[in-house]
Amino acid sequence: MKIPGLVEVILRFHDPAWLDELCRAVLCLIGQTHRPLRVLLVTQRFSADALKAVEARLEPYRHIAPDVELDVIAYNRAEGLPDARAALINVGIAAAHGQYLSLLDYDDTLYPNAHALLVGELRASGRAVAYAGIALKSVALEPPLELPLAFACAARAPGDGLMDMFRSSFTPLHGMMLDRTCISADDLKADETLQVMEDYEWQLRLGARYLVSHARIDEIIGDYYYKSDGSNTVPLASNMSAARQRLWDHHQARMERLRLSLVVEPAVQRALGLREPQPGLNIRRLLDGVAQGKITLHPPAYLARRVVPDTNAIGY
Amino acid sequence: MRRTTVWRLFEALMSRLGQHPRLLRLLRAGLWRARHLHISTADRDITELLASPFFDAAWYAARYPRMPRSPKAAAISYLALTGAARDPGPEFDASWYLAQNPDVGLGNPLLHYLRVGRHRLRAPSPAAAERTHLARAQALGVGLPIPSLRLAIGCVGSAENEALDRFMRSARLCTTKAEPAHCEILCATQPDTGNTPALHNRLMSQAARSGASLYIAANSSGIFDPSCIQALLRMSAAQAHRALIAASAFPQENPKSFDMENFDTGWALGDCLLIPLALIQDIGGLDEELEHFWDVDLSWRARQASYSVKNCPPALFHTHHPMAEWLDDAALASAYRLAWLWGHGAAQAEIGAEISRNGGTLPTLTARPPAGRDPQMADFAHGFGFAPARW
Repeated sequence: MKIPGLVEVILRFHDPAWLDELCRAVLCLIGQTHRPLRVLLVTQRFSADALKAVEARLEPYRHIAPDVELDVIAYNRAEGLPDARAALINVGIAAAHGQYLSLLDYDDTLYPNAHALLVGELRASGRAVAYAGIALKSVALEPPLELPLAFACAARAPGDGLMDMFRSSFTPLHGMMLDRTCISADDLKADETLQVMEDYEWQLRLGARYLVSHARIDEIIGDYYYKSDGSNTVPLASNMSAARQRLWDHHQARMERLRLSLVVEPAVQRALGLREPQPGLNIRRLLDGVAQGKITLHPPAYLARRVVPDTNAIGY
Repeated sequence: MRRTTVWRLFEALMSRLGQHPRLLRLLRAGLWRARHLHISTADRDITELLASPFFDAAWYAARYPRMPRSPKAAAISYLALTGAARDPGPEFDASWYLAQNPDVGLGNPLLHYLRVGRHRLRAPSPAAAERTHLARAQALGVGLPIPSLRLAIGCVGSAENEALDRFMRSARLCTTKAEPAHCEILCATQPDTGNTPALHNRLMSQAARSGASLYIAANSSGIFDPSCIQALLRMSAAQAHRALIAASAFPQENPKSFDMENFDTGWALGDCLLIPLALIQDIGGLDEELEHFWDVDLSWRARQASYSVKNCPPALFHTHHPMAEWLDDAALASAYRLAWLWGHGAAQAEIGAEISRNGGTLPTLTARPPAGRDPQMADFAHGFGFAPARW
């Protein structure tokens, strides 16, 4: 039984040293305009003392927004990967019972209308997954103050819709919301063997099997932070090493194998604009077919519904 | 190519260095490595180095024996000959910079710093990093005790019950954490009579009468982060309570720029703004005709009265500012008045034209703006940002 209208956010938290950043994420969540809201904060192998510290820091936010459920789920399984990124998602999903599901990492933020906009899009489109845009903000972290001083902010990463998402990951997970009433529990499970790109694997799999809306992709609903201390998971010039490069190459190859094995459901093919869906068409064949002109996509319906925000520049 | 300045300098250098065969060999090797470098690029690099305070030709020549003494030749030598880890001057630690910034790769560390690093708030040396850190901590009042004084929080705005309840809960929580400061919360939520600046004027008078020395103007639809007021009070104490200090609008911060060391900014956002009441005594209250941009006007007046205007990044105030809302008719009318108040005729005319294009009516103004505002304090060169933007 999924509680209608309830948005649940799985908030992944990996390192107790980053409590200040966690508090920023919690603040942006209790400030969401959508209610009802439940936050599932999943910690990764924290000691009892660290968990106590987390609870103590959360207490003021519980006081400010008593209408938001703020639950801490301690993930303590010793086995598995050291960075249990996918396992944290699965633990959060197991505890969830609402209609809508969203994710946020402790170091990212969402604007106040983010959930309302995504829920609105899921309701309006009837689709299983909705995306909106996430801006890319560069911040310098100044130890020991740990002030995130933002010096640059770019528009979202380039990409318009599902075909672009099949080509590469262009939207961070917090730009996405799922309607769990449309998705089977098995498909929601993240792949716990992945050290990185667990989010992209999830997006690829859901994108191939369920109807996805990118109608609100031009509307920015949050920020992804590129941090100067090299602590981002994604490879950047500032944190790149030979080992990290090998790790990413290995996972890129796994994603490519996934593109070869994931069959794009006929309903998804139709939504993409294939008039005659092809049985057994996998993501790679779809991408290559379109690139080589062997598959024609007719303008998909979601483009007609695309909401272009008012981008009135500051100026007179 | 042989007519270029660089080539002529190179030839002169070669002839003078003829008696130093080892150095000559190294120089040739360096130039050979740089054979693909276009001469115009090299010229640009040299010009950039010579203009930089981090390239000190005299220091460089003294530090590394047998280096040419002319600045330009030293710059050429630094670019073409030296190992990347050589310091170009006393203020730039190349080895440290390379270790801190692996993305420099095989490039020249100083050129990387000048073109990339400084814009990304990276430090040129550990000493500079420490200085910056100390300057920030000092400006923010890190480690200072919270001052024992009377503070009033003025809650103004129109918020539905749930949002107002969140605001009040966050404000009360903040005030308990801000002890020994004695805080009281004053409310004038619309549709109470008057617009935002008028309501704040009324609440500031009330606060002054009850003995408060500081006032926080706050939008009732926001949420104080639990340590927001502590951070504002510490920063105010660090500035001897002679600063207008804005909390950081979170999570969608205003893109206007601010000094990343002392946090000075062109104007302070009014959503959560600490105002010393002595300032209001000095310059008078907020302009009640400015439904929008009253905070911009107040900031410029504060600067003119020798108060500083600052951003306080650790003080978070959750608020929502969709850009479209800034640009409605009321915002244009306020911007028109602001330009008139500050004697910026060209900006006033442009905004007036925009109002007319939108089919609006120009606000009624008296013949002359009130005296006392110095046009040089105002910034109409950056549109409705009223300050340079970071992005």
